[in-house]
Amino acid sequence: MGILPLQGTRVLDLGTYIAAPIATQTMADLGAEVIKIESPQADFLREIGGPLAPLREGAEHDRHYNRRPWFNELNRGKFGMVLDLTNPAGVEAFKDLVQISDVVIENYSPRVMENFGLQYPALRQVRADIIMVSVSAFGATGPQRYRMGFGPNIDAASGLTYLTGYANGPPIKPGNYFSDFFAGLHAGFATLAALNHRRRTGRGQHIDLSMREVDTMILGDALMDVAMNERVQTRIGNGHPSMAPHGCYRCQGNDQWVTIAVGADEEWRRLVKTMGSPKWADSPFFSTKVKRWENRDELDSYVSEWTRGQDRDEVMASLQRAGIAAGAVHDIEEIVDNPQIRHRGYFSLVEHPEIGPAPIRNLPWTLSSTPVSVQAPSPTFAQQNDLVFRELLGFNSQAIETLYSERATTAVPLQPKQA
Amino acid sequence: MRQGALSTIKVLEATTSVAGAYCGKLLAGCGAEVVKIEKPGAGDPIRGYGPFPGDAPHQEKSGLFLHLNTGKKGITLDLQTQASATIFKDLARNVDVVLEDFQPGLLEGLGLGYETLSNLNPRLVMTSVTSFGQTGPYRDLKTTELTTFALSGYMDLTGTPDREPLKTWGFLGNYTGGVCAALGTMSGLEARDLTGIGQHIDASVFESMLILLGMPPFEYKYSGEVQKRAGNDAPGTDVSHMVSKLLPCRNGYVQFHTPPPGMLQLLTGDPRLEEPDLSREEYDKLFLSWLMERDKEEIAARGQELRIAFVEVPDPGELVRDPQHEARGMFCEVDHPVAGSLSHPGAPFLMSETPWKTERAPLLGEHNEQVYRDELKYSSDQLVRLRQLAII
Repeated sequence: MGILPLQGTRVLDLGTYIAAPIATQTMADLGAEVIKIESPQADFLREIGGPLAPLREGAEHDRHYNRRPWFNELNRGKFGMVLDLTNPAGVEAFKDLVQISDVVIENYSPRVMENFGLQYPALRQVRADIIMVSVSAFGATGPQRYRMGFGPNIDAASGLTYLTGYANGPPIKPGNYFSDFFAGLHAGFATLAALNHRRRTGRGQHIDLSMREVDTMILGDALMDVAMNERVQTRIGNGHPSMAPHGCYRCQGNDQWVTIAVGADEEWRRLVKTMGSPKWADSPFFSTKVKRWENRDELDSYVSEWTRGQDRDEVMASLQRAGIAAGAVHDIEEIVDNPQIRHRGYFSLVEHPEIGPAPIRNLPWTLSSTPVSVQAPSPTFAQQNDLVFRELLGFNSQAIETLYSERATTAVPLQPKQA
Repeated sequence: MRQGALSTIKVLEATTSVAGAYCGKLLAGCGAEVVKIEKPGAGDPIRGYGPFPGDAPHQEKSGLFLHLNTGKKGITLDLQTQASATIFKDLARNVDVVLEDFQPGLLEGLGLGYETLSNLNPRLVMTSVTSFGQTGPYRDLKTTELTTFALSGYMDLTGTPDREPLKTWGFLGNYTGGVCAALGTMSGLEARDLTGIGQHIDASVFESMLILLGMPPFEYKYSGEVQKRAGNDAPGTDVSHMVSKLLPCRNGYVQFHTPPPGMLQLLTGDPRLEEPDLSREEYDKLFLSWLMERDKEEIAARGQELRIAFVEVPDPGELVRDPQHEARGMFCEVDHPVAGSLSHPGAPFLMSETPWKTERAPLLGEHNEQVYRDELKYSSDQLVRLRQLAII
């Protein structure tokens, strides 16, 4: 294997759920040594992370918490170990690791690191140039810093949910857990910028990332409208401030849809031609871009009439041939098996000791001279405990045994819940 | 004054998409010197996007442009003219990063592809961010934000089951592609510090959006279940207290995760809400009547006191007065010679050593003199000529 962009960088990942793990997943893909440190109760996603993958034939162990697809996708390529940071011996071992690491990243509520006594000033005493990344719902400072929030809460609290929804309907949250992913990607970017800075100056720092503030970037133009016009924008469904038709239209079959976006007159003429030049399209109501937008509801019903009896992919293909931005609404199944995705090798399989080949996602960019591809599966619970204690920290067998007996670490999750 | 984290990095940005511009904004915010190339006269098409003060379109007053281009310098260059290739090469020779979002193949056609530029500047990291990347059967599809939303599958996860799939507000997909392109650019810069040579980063908005699908593609592999849009109910959660809800209250909406057993009674004082065989409809009705007598701020504060994840759903007008945003300095006043003084969203994250930069967006061609004459050492005569020929 060739040189990887982040080789030689060691990252301690205290992340749980999604946001911080997305950041460290990227760093692991790029060649960093990421050590995921779980609490003795295990990452929550080992319990709720989706349907269990079946046990590989001939697997040595049958441990359900190692077979959750969420956990395994988010943590591929990382080492896994367990430390109880409420235990003084656990904190000591963690500080030993900080001494030999470049980055510490966590996404607890701000009071958790305070309770551990592991805020940035404390880590900095252990290693002066450490880069600490704190990802939280509302940020590490301010009157709402202790507020609780998970992905959809943040999308709501950021204003993104308020603006999303069908025209005249209630707010609707973006699919799944948008802010977790968006914040995690930004945390990764900020960490790489801090590493770049440290290489030049020798100085580490603390990154305080509020998931809600990251979401705010997307609202830039709506917030500028407030600043410019004191206007509060609202929900417009699939519509557009100036383009029409611009929407999602039903096609033949069950829940089959195609999106069509048309702006300039030239595009409109090509759409009309592709639709077979229907009479209604000659109406003066649709003769200019502005008129089409003003009469967009009526226009939408005409376009729907045209798409309704047709095959979704054929509508997309004929419009694309005419140079019009049309796209089929794919479902999850169609994404898993999609020609573009296959061509780019976006999904691949890594060999997991208890599952066999496990599906993972690759980076959404390629690198021409230092190509990266995911090399290792996610860790089983506590998989690299002894490797870290022995090889990285140089503990002897007796010291390691003491960590187990004092419950600073464990090989199996405490109070395991039933699957 | 303290400098940004990337203050030694120089970027040449030739973009017209939100994804490309947001990538450049992130680099500029971290202190990189980003010089944005725009077409003479017309400028970046995003200059034509609203909002505008008083709804009067003006090249220097586009709210979207002002937001996406903070901290950048602006020059003009018409890449359709023959003479421009030499100038573009002069610019690319002196930078660490070329960031572009043209239709794949367009720059190669102008003799400005990665091969050519890397011969001139072997340390160059070139980031191309496009809808689908530089290869594959979708490469040349015509797209807008709506198209990539549909094709990525994210649209099928947003909206209610009884209606059409829904695009989220704004350019969420493009912003996601933008941050991935910025991460990709950083990965190229990090590799360069190890190898001494640059490389071509080929970033795809479509693939970036696939990250947002989260776990359904991986669950599908084992359960065979194709997850679909479920309105405000979070799909794919098999633990009852994680069910996401959004309900109206007296002055707007609140959003929350259904709290663990016992907590709703604590919140509302109504024991019926804890009955195990309560139907979803009855639950909504009982709870709704309690919510409709209260304001969202009060409900969120009371919920949070009980350590349950309740939030109010603010509108953009409320956000600019939000106490948490105020305490953390989310918004900053930016003075612009044409658009005036406007409150902009500031830093997406706070770095203790290297402050984020939110300086105003450039005027069209504002830094032509500085870049072409002072940095590239073109003569004043040359500049006049380039201007007369509408090359810059």
